[in-house]
Amino acid sequence: MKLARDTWLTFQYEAGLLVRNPVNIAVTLLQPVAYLLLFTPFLKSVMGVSTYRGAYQIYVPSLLCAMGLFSGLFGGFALIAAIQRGVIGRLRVTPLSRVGLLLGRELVFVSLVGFQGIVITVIALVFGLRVSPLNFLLALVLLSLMVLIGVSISYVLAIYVPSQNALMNLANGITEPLALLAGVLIPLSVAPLWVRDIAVWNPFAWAANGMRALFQDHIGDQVVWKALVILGVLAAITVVVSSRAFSREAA
Amino acid sequence: MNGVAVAQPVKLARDTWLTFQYEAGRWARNRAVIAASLLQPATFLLFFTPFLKAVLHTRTYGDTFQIYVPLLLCSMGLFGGLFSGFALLAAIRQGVVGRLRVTPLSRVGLLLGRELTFVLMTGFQAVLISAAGLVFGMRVRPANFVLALIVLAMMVLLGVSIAYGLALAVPNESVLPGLMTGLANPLSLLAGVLIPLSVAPVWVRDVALWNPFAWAANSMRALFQGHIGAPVVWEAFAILAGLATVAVLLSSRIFSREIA
Repeated sequence: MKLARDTWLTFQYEAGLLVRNPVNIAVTLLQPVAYLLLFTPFLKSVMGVSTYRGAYQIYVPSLLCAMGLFSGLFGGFALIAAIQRGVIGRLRVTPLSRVGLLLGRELVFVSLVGFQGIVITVIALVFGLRVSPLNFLLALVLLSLMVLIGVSISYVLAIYVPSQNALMNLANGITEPLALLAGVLIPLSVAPLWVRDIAVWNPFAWAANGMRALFQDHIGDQVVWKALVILGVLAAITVVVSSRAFSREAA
Repeated sequence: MNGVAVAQPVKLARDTWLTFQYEAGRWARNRAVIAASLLQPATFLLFFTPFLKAVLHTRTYGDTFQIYVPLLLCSMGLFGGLFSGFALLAAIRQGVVGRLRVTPLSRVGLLLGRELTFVLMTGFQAVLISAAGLVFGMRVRPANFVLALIVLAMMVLLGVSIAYGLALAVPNESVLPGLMTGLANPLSLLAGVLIPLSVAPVWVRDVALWNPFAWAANSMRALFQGHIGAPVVWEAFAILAGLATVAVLLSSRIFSREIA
């Protein structure tokens, strides 16, 4: 009960900071919108789909996946900045629980990416995408789990490697291969066998495949529930590990 | 007096060289930064090429690298160039530019030396990435590769000049990233740096005609495929040389005025 309230308080505070800066949110949408509008035509040609509707059904889930991955795994920078500016230190002297402090911050990333995902999907709807509301909701759940995993990993890294430069390289070095091997540009389904064999070990590839199945209206496809299970378990583990690390360091 | 006796172009060349030496030396001493800058292109080289091979139905990995390496060089040139404004802003904020201003170095030399450092950095990365491509079966003639490097150098000059102009016009670290992202992403996608323009829908190719970086990408791809005589090669040379000259002149004007 106390944990839920503390999480909510932290979430409100952090989300409020974010909402008061709509320009920043708009800027974060520039890159995904550019890819949505200008990469899909290329994909449409090489994937041999006849309509933009088909092309968006392939690419929108991949794009959401890329957004979740990058926003999540680069979340640690905000934590380092907050620690360096003394924000965390000042909140530590309040009776807020440490875990609530962390979860609240992590959930802000989840809602930010969720909001971006909705905006991107709405733009794609205008250009011909069709997706049933239930499938889209499930895709958002997968996206949220991805972001939770990413932010948790990133927070642990930020706590142990509190140098912005080192973290930048580390985050880049992890995120780019994970994203490419999740097929966020060209779907894994057409990749050579050896790539797919490696991707089996990439949880974000499961997320990408699960989301693509949902956008193509194959809600009963095995990959959907498998992705939900894999990501749900991983999210639980990484959140617990990151709260442990945070409580110890910020004690 | 000696300063008067030295002709203007000679002084400019010497000042450019001095600035270049200083900046390039700082870069060369920072091995970790050099390694980090190769991380992203190396990842794309290794993990994006297999996807491209599948959708372009090329026979061998060598053939795929032949298509993708020039595109990768292109995106390195584009992003390396257009995101260089941050380094200039940082140098201004840290007082580096201010301290060099009180020396008798010419303003334009100060700018050109910095811009050429970016050309060197990208050229170095391009050579390493191409060498990796060679290992994986890509084949390119030395003359064609040198020409491709010249196209790349002009791209970087164009990009750095635009970035410097923007950084001086909008000297704000929180606005500049958005501006550069909003500019670099459409330019690179419309240059076909991920999937070549040759397979894109007609409307995309029509729009790309107005993108000088698309000309660069197409000509570099032609060079890597051994089509040195293709019209796109000299057309791209003319377009990029003209634009790079204009952009360098404009950015020196702005730089001289702002930093005077």
